[in-house]
Amino acid sequence: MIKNFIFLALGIIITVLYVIFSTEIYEAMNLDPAFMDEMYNAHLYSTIASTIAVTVWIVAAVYYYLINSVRFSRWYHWLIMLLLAILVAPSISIYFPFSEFSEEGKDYLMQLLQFNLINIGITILLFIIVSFSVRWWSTNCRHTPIPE
Amino acid sequence: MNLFLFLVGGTGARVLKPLVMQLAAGVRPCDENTGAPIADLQIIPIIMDPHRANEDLKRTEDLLRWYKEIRRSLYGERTDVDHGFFNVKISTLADLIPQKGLNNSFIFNLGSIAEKEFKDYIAYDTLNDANQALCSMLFSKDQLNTKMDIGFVGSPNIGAVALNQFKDSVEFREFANIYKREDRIFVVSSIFGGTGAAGFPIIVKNIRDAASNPMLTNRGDLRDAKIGALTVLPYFNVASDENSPITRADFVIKTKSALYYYQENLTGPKSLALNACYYLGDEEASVPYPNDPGGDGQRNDAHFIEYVGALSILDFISIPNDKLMTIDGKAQNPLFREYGLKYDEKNLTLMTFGQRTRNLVNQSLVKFHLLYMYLTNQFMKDIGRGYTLDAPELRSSFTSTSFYRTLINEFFHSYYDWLMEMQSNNRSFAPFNILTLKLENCIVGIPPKKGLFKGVVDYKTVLSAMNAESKKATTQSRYSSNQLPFKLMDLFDSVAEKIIAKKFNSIK
Amino acid sequence: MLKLVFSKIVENIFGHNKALCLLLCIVAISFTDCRNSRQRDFDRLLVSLAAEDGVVDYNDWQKIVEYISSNAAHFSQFMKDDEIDAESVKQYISDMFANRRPSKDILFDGAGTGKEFLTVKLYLERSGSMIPYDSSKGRGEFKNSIVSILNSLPGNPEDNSIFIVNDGVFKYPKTFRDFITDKNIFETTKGIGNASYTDFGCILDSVLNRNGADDISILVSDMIYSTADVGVVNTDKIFSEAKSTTQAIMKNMASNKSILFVKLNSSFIGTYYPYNQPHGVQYNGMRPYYIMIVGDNANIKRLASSDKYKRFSQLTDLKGFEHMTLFTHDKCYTPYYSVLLSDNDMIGRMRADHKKNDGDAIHALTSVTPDKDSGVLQIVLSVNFNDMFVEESYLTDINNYDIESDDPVEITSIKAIEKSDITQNNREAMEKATHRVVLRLKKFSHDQKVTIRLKNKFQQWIIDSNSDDDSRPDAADRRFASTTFSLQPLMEGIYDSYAALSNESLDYFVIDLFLDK
Repeated sequence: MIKNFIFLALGIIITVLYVIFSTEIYEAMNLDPAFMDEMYNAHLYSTIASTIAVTVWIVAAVYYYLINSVRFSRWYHWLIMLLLAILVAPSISIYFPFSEFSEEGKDYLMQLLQFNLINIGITILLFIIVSFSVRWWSTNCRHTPIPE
Repeated sequence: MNLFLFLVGGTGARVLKPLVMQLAAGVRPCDENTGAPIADLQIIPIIMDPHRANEDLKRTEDLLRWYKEIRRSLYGERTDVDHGFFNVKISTLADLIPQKGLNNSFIFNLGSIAEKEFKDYIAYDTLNDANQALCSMLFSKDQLNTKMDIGFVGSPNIGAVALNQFKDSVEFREFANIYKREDRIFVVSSIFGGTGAAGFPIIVKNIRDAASNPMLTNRGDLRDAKIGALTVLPYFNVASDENSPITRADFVIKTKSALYYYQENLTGPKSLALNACYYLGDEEASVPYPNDPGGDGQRNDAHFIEYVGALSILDFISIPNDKLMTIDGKAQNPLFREYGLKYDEKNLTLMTFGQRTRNLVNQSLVKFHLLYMYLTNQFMKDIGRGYTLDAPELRSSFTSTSFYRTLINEFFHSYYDWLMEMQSNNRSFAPFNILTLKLENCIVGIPPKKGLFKGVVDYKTVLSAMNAESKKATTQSRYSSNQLPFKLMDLFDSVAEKIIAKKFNSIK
Repeated sequence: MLKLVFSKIVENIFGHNKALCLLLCIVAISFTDCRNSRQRDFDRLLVSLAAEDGVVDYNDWQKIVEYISSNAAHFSQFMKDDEIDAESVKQYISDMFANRRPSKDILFDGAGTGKEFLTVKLYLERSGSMIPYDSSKGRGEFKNSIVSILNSLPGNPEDNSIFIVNDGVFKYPKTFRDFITDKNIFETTKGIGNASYTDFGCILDSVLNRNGADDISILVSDMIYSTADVGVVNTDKIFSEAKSTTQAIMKNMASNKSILFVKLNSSFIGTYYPYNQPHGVQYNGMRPYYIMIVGDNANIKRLASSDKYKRFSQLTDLKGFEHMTLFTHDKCYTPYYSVLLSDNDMIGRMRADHKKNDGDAIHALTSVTPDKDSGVLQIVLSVNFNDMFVEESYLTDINNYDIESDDPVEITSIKAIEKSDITQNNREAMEKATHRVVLRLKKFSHDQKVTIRLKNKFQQWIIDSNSDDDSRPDAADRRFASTTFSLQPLMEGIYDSYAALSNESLDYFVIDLFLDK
């Protein structure tokens, strides 16, 4: 039981750290400096990190607690939810910079696509972490995707 | 409480089967007064039938052995289990006194009878002419030549003589020694056969006369023992066969004369030997059984009457002590009970029983049947998912344990056969739809409740409920790693109870 | 139906683990970005107003105020007693641009005040020895400089005011325009105060105390300290009194007031009053006089950097200009600077560390490798020395710089950028700068930060302009023409007040370089 709470705490800590240090994390990715400056000035890193974090936690919560079904408890069902998170989180997160830049008439499409690839990676990583944080209290999916 | 259950003759052994099935299902008799489960209940069946090759007897003995094995895997030798599948402990006499070196069998050793022809048994050839002439009056030539390993073939006059050795046997002595005041004795016999009709009075008489048997200890307790008996009146038909000594017409005549005899010697005001006497019969004749006077062939389909017979045993256990008083070998206010169905139908289901029976057995039977369905049709597919992965894990290696194999390959096969036989007999008792693979229509006459978002009952429902229950159990560290069989059965017991409460709550 | 679906959802969520769900909600809520669209629009407005020039001027400020007023409900952090709190808005703007990339120091040029321009208060010393500067026989440099200063001020001249000072501070009886067109300013003010005595303590005190947050005070004076007691002829006593007078006045003012001190010269025809000759001596020749411009640190900074005060700040163009120095506690300048990665004086190899650099300017270097043979590393910086009240000669004197680093670093040269220095590769950094600074490291052993400070020293020209005996105007060394009696102690009193504010050195600016291997 303690182990489960440790996993939950770790998941929360990692998520919070990701949001807090989102700027540092994204900037370590060596994207186009001008693009990075624009993102930084528009405070988009933290907005996007928050969006991804919230989406991932919601998708995980939906899977483990709302759906929580034996009919949807195989690893490939979990994978479907991961795909959903990948589809939703980076899509929402690309919306902010896209609308921000289009309002200002700036064209960073290529950079945004590159940025989106990073977000997909982060979403996958975060979803795995969050899954291991919350799954223990799920009735039917606590052993998904990988049994203990 | 120990219940010494004497099962005399073929019918006795046949009543044992539904009893074992009900006990496996977790039926637990409760005190009529308090409603509390009878504590430390242990049943010691003693089968008295010289006809050892009888198929029914063999099947029953196997069933008892499997029950014991399964129960040992679940609870060890504990007797303080008061709920769950297989909760009542069933033991042999030898189990109770292992140091005495008794044959570890549920079958009373009648070896000295079985090997001989009747005339040898009474040493006919050594008698003088006068006595031989008397014997010839009492026993027909065929009877004198009967080899008793096939029983007394409908001849109580042989049985009465032969079984009289009962009182001198080691088994009876040991039984008398371990009998305690709070224990009970129940005798099951058929009135219309040979062995049962003859054995029943002999057993009762010998117990009540224990005071005058100098070979016994504990004589006072035994004399005032609480004795119940089930007398099964004719209920099955036998196919007519000119060469057989057993006929349907004989059954009625024999029954009548036996009843007169019982009244005189057991139940009547003169004797007051029984504290409770159950009479059971049915005018509706069964499907004719093949006429087989012994030998290897006697294997008759299970019948609903036997099922009711088993209920009488449970009923006797439930009677409070104050209604079963015996003073100086005389039962005080003896009870006489019969059984009636709520509906007199030819095709019976769980709903045909009266309320008392429904309360006692229906939930347990449905639980057991759900267990049977789940373990047979789904469990293997669920290994590696959900609750099976909670510690202690139920891996696929679990399916090769002797517990699992005995339960699935032996006990459940027997269970299926039993249901099948009862269903095809007359009256037909079909509580479950044994041909279906689905849970939603497995209980005859009781479709599951449906509603918006409730869905049908299926194996996913079970898995989901097992997951929920296992989650709770894991939090409480309810099962240790050496309790895998118990984990599976206990989880299912709780889960089935919830499913029944939600979906099949009309069975009670 | 919908209700059922909802209740099912709630049952599913809360049925399983309330604590966990609550936690999830908290996480979700706390992560939700609270920046609303108005805040974003406000930031955009600020960017549009100030990102380019780094200045929030009066007009910009009006737009900002208008936006905040019409969305007051969303900007409660800027409101104080139902009024816009200019300081908190300015703080927000400063912080926002400091945290932007490239980060920018924002100049508030008339922002946050009720007025577009600073109010100028001119204090003209009218002591006996001042009159000969404006002699009708002279060349008129004195008047010319004062008028050009006043004329270079933006805004409505009548908002400004003029005072006559000697033994007290008196309002100039006419208008600002009258003053500018006045043929003889000393004649017009004749009879105001006691021209025979200059109470320097009183004057400086008035100048500083009457200097409001939106004011610039300008004192025109010969800076000759005189004592009230005409009998005192001990110069040491006079000097010590002069120093302690300014020190006492400046003590409480130094932290937020800056003083720009300018030395000019002018023809002087008339009576000069040496410290020991109350009746004076006739002198006909050049004499120095001084302009002291006093204001809040931010206002003095504004004078140097605001386009609107460009003309005013060209003090070097004034007739008779000699020197200037800025007394301030503030590290008031943040010049643009960037490492030149392509320059003839560069020795060794290095790359810009884009992760650490802010905008186009290169402040952080990586893969820094000294010359293989000599082990020497030479780094060339382009620096913009514009918009500072610091003389070119002071800026280019390498002795005025202090360098902190692990390995010894020296400045080998500071030169103005010439056209020939600009190449295709360094054009961007060069065009934003005015000077090339060459730094030399004899060895480069490990990653380190190099901090370069331009010290705010007590300047040599003040010492050179000091005289401890003004009794012989006709001396052969002609020092009388360029020195002022008691100037050094007077100014030392001021400088020491600034220096005493903290243990740290007084600097005009600090620039940092980050060198990584």
